[in-house]
Amino acid sequence: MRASRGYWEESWRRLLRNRAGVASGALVLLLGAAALAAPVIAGLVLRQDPLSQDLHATFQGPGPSHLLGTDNLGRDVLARLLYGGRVSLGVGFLSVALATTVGGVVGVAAGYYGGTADDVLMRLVDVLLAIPGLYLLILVGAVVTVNAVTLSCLIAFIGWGALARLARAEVLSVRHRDFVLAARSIGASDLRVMLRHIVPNVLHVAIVAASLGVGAVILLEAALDFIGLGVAAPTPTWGNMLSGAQSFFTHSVWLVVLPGSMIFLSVLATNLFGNAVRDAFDPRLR
Amino acid sequence: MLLRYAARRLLAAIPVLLGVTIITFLILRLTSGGFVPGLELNPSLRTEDVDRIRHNLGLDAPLPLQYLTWLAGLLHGDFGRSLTDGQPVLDHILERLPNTVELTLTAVVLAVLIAIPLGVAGALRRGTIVDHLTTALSVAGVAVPAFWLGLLLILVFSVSFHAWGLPWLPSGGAFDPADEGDVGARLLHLVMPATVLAFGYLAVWSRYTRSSMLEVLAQDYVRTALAKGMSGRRMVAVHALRNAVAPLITLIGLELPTLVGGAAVVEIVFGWPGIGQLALERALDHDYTTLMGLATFTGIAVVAGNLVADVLYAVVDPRIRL
Repeated sequence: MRASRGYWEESWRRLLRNRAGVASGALVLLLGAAALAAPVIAGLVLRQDPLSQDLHATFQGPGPSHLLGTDNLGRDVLARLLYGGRVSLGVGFLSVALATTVGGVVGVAAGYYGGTADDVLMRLVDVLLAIPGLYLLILVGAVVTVNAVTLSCLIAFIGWGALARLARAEVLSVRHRDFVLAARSIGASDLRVMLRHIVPNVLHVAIVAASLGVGAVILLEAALDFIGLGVAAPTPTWGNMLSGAQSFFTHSVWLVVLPGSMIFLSVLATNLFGNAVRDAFDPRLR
Repeated sequence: MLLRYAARRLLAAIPVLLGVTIITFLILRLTSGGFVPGLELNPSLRTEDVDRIRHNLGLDAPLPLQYLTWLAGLLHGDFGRSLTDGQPVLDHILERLPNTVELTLTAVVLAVLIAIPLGVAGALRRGTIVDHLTTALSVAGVAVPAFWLGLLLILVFSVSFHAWGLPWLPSGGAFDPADEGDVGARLLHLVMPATVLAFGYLAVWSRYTRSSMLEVLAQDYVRTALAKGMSGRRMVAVHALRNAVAPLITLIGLELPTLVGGAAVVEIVFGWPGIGQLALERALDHDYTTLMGLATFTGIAVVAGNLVADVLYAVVDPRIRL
């Protein structure tokens, strides 16, 4: 256990020494905090509601009453951007958390038990990886109305396969090590061996994959909102703000630039942070 | 040996293909519940008529039977008929597929032609401005939403250029409505969607080239070549480049079917009449049979692509056949 504690401590130090990593991590936290506090900031500080329309004040530029202007229905753009972050970041983190959990459990079980269970589970992963995820989301989105939570579940459903494969490969490489054999020979149950001895050795794969996955999900979710099959109006999201702005972008460029920049910034920050996490936690990069 | 390996991979692909059809069928039938557009809630139809039409479409049969009927058709190359216009689904797909392939291949070629020199430059000039710029470009390229980049390009090159009286690019579609066969106009339509698509690939592939180039440069045979007095330029051309680029080409080959599916968002932004645009149109029309066909067709393409890549790997690397 001493060696394993050393690994985590060392990894943390490496992460904190990485200046780009710390900066991007801080940016992710800032964006997350702004999204979480959206009702407070919008309601108490800005005194703006993201849904309330003012048809006498449409397409206003940035100004004292509306810091980032208003859209085609006179809604406050800044308040909508803050609320939009809740969906983008929420779906990003929730679906990655779900996909990592499911993929991790399946990968560990398949790798540990081997045999028929392994064959069946890995064929299922092959199937999921073969089906084009975006098409699946397009067709499900067209039939049922999704919200942030159901959308996260859908994205997790099509996304857990890749991690299951990674986790399984990692389990195979530690399954026959002496410490596993020792644990089993003193009578530890399968569950105990997996949780106490296998999982800690697989965890770094899950952490790296998860931190690199959030950005991809944010992009996917925004694309779905944009084509009108994701989280729909009236809930403001960066994706559906962009699709709404499409019709007016010749005279109100800001309505296109702002939501897109927020998506770009969030994905950039989470990806850079993901890279830093990979550099710090992946033992092969030492 | 190779033949036996290929046969084994082919056998292993069969359950995966079956799985693709089962999952697609289940998801579509469970979410749609056998809804037929234009049939339900149609006041001019009597209940008996509705029941008869549903019976003719086979929608009153038990689900497993419906699946088997559909699967039997697939085995004969029959993807079923569209629920909205009654045309064979395969015809719809094959009509649009060439457009998607044209767009994707253009973008792939464009991206490779830029990514390889960028990646090589980054590796050879490691730590310099060139390297940092290449890295920044690839980090930004992965993070920028394709549909947003598309909108911004339209805003600049179609809308603003038009307003300023400059030569402007068409903002959508694949050809000049007045003259469908005009190759020049078709190329102009291709410029922006291919650029957006290529930008995303380019970001990933230049990183990949850079890291595999760095790996190759650290190899003993490179040091030997340099020690024997080979010039750096010649060493890169003869040894390093070839060994660094080979894995990239394999990677692209493996991902090609996925890339074809991934072009959907760009197709939608630019109204490019490919299969991604088809998927959206049909989804909005509730044309489930066409969607089922599309998802299955793309799934088969992915599995087939992986199979070909597996066998090609085995041809190149005999150890894999064991």
